Amino acid sequence: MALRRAGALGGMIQRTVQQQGQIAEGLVGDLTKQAALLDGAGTLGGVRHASQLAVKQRMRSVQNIAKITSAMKMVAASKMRVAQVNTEKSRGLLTPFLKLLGDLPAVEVETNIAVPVTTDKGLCGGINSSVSKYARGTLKAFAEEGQNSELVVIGEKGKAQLARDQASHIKETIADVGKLRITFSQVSAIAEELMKTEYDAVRIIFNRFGSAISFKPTVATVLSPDALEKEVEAGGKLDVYEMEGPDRGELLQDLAEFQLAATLNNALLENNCSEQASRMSAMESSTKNAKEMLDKLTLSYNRTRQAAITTELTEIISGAAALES
Amino acid sequence: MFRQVAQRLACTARRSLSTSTLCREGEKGPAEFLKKFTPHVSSTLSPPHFPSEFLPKTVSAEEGAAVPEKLTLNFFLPHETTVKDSKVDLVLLPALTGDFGVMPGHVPTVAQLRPGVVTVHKTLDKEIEKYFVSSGFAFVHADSSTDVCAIEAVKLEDLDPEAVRAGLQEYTAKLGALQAKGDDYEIAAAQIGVEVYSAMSAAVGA
Repeated sequence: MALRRAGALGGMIQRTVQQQGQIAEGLVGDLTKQAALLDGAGTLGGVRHASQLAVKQRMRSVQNIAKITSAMKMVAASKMRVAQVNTEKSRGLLTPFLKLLGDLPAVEVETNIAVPVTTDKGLCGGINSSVSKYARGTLKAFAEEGQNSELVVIGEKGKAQLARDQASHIKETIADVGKLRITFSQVSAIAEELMKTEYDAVRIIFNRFGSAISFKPTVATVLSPDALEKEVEAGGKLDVYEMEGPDRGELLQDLAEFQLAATLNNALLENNCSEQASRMSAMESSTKNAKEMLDKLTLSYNRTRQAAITTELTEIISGAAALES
Repeated sequence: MFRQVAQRLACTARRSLSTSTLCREGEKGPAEFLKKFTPHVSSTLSPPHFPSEFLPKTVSAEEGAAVPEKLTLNFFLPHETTVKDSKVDLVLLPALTGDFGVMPGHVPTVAQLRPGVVTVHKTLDKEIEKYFVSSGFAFVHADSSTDVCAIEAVKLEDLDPEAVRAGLQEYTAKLGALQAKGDDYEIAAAQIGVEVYSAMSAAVGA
């Protein structure tokens, strides 16, 4: 292309020179030299044709992507192993609360808060969009009959997804939770922030870790102290228990707060573990895809290269044969 | 085709099973939640799960069953399960209202704990384990099982008396300095520190 344009330019200049009757051979010579230089810059790493060059560049980029994704997979796998141990250890604390207070996701109260737990970073499969879907459903399910239904979103990804259509319902967002190791004191700070929303029932939506390839979207419900009191009065399980505390109300409040922190702690750990597992499988499949693509590109590159060589050889041989005869 | 039908059947069976086990939650349980939830989402979205589905299977004691000989103890922390389904004779718990012991057949109780020592008698007065807990709750269930939930718990022998003494001194000094200034939050934090450390030093000294 550059050569042709330079040639055309040269021709024009020549014509002008002829028209004017002056000689400007030096200028034309310079231009031809420049055009030759431009053409030479295209030959890279033994590639002789422009089409082959494009394929070669594509191959290099696909190879780099495969390297990056396989490294990400390794990182996610090692993080998952640590997270899995921590998650399984955190599950125990939930059982006494469920035994004592029961699981009441359909409880009817005034202010409902849905807390979708999502990740901060992407490239981890579909776990965030599924949590968002369940969060939308939960939000709508309790938005009727004058009930108050709001969202407190944990994680950047969920924030971005839910802000699209539920922006008016988002009360608060919390990010950068899983950046460092999740600790109970960190979770307590989040729970405290959550309590400022003056909820009656919190429904935490997260991916429960099943195995490296299965995550179960789960809705965990925690009631506020007042709602808990009402449940107990209405004949909840807690009624048969004797209270050993300074004051019944205070004890119930502490119990509800402890339950919130414990449930949130487990939810964050579970979701973090699911994130790593999901990222691991997503990166594994993308590495596989990149490798498949690389194989196809290599094949097509080699084929065209060989075709070009064969053509050139045929030309040379037939030329030589024509001269001999 | 047949496989799909079988899958569908298995799915319904599972669902009916889970609702039957959870029906004790009545009209506020997961089944009712799903009734409210499903009309608002696409029909292809599988229903969510609930924490109660993942509870370990327990055989609930029948009414009027004899009191078992041993107490089943569970000891949970947010980051660890210290004791799980261990059979013990007696547990001494530091409740806010005073220490109390739990033996098989105890009345169902919910107790808030104060900083203090939880003593586990695996066999009465012979095999004894002592844990220091910062705070938390203890639940004694009707089926002679006890759940102790603490924020932090360590074995008593793991506490360093020197460090405890230093901590107590630090917080006492802090509390004295803060009381002059009068920041409520800071004072409360220092008071908690003093309380925990004095309980700890009492436990270590004993």
